[in-house]
Amino acid sequence: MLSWRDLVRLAWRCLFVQMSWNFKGFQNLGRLWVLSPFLRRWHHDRMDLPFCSRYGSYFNTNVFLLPTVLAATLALEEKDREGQSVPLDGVAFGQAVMAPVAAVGDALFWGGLRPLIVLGAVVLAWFGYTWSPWLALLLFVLLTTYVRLYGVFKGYALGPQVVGLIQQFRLAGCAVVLKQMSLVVLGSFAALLADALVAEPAVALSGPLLVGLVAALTLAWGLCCCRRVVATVLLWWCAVAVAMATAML
Amino acid sequence: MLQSLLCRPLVCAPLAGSVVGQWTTGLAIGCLLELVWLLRLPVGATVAPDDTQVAIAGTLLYAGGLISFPLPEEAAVGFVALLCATVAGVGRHVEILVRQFNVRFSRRGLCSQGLAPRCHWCGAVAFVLGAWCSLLFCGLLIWLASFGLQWLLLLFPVPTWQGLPALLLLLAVVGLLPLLRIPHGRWLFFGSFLTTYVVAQVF
Repeated sequence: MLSWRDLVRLAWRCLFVQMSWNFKGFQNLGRLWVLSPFLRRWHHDRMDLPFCSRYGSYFNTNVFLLPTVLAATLALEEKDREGQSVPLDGVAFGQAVMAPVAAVGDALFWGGLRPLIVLGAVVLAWFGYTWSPWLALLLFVLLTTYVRLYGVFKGYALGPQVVGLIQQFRLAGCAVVLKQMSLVVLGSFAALLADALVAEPAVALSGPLLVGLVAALTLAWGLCCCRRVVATVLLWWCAVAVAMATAML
Repeated sequence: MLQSLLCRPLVCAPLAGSVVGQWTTGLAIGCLLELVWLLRLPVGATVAPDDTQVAIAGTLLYAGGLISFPLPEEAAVGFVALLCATVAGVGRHVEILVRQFNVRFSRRGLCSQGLAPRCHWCGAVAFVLGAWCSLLFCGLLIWLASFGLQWLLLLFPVPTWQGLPALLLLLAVVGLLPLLRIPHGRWLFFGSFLTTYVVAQVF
């Protein structure tokens, strides 16, 4: 039986799972490293090469939901050790859930939460609040730490049934809502920037500069419609357009 | 490691700037670079451009006075960000090499239970060394490229427009418009744009 200290330790070790990320097994060695103290406690007679190879097989999932998956894995291993019947072993459970959990988790945390928090910090910085990076850091760390700790306790308590809990939270829907909120912030920020550009007293938005800007934004729009848009290209194109427009004034 | 926002340009660039007492300069560079790669997700086997190292290198070089442009502060910061954004694509190859190298540690670590922790930490050391190499390499490239940019700025009339950072930010925002593909994305974006713009004009 794992104590709450063990579960917190599991969540802590999960922070370092990416340290040996590699192109063949992805997080395989990291998972083995995270689980090995707990597995060794139960399976000290079985910590041989085949056992390591099983847990060292290909594994990759979202880092924020990883504690949930690994805690459920340990719950399965514990039941197996106690002789209870388990629907599938820990390795098979990990293989089964890693891809769906990765898809949902990446969309939520990397695709939804991070852009929203970072955009908010950039907008605050634009208004002169220079401490905004600390706020972004604090918010993100607090939210993800809560998810990690909640997930590790629920994962251990529910075992494989934790998948149902993840489904109940409708994380994919939350990701869409976060992205929509990011778009609202983005639209407001773009309007503020446009307002600042028009109000810039150093140069009037007329003549060649206006033509250059309209051309730059049109090209940017066209490039954004393509999937392989490169933001760097947009930035360089803009800089050149501005330099040329300024030179023509 | 830790998967916090510490490695994002928004955070690491001001931190690098604070080393030489230039927090706000780092923040300006960080904000520009952050928007460029906001939608680059570290998913699966994809390796995003090395935004962390270029943000640190660019900020240290500019705030430390090792590179400079014959431009006002606001415009110069914009050009530093441009150089960083261009060089970052090179830095990602160092990380790819490290991840390929870590395959050896993975193989060795799986040979025996005792070797797994040691090999795991060796992988971390490889990432740290790779980050240092990337930082030095990107810094060198930014430093060299700055000379070329200075030469170009001498050839062409120097743009003294103070609104360049705002324009660069606006263009970086335009680069985020693939977000519009989500449900009701266009309505939300243009609705908030128009509302804010009208409010800004009125007040």
